[in-house]
Amino acid sequence: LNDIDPDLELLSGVSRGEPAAVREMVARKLPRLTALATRVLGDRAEANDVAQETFMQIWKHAGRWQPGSARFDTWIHRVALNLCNDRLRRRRDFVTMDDAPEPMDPTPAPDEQMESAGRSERIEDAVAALPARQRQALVLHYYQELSNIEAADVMNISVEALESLLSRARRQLRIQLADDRDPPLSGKDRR
Amino acid sequence: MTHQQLVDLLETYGADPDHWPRESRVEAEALVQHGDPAIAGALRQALALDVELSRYSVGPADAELARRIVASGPSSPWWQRIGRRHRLWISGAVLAGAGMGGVAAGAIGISLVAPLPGVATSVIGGGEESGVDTAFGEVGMNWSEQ
Repeated sequence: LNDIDPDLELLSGVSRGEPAAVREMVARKLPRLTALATRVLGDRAEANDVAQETFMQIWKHAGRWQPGSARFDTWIHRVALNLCNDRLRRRRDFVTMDDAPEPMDPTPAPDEQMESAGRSERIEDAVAALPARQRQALVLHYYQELSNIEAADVMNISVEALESLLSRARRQLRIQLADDRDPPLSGKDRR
Repeated sequence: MTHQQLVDLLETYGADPDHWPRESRVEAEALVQHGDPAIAGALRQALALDVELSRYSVGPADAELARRIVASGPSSPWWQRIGRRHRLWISGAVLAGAGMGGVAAGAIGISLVAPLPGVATSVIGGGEESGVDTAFGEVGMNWSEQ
């Protein structure tokens, strides 16, 4: 955190309304924000909305940014994650027990099993099936490549709590992916 | 760092040292080199999960979305925008304007200073009666009568 924030100069250009800086900021951050929200929400359209709303906050705060407290990239992750959590809460509010969708079957169809697309879907489904906080910890640390301190900061938890979430997430994924390879109905023992 | 702590680290952060906490990295990497079977097993397991995780790719950002976001971005004050877009045009215009202003000022100055060619000094109010001898004043005017 003591390193110089690599986004500061760009942010300064954005605050002055320089078109090149605005374009560069979008090119640099939109893929990261879209990836984050897609993996947290499991819905690309909603992820695009979150990315757009996050940029509204970036435009709003660019001129008032105070370097030193947190990296700009960490801050936009926090904004985006909060927006994702708002949407996850709304989903819970609207989905009652009666009309809740059936839990997703993580086992791919037989004709998908040899396809790499099938393998991609399998891990997507496994990540989507994780409890929300575990999924967020994994996405922030593994996919977004935030440090453990930054990821904990974004989630507003301690590093120890983050480690617990990461450990449980990876264990759950190992079990689920092993089940996919050796379905319980096959009679094979689980590890 | 104990062997168990390294196994815990692998189960938490995966097999890639770049994902490990910075303060544990050197010690953990040194311990991995020892070749302990339990650690090698934990490393293989962590690596296998990392490979699975790496298969979850997200497509590139939507170009139309990027265009909309750029369009919604902040813009500088109008005079700076004009300045950026038309800097060359403005500098040319300013130079041309300054040049034309100089020509006009010069023409006015000359018209005030120099007598028009072919026009009698009496026509412009000069001459002996008014005492105008120079362009800067009626040096020879006699004010005593007024």
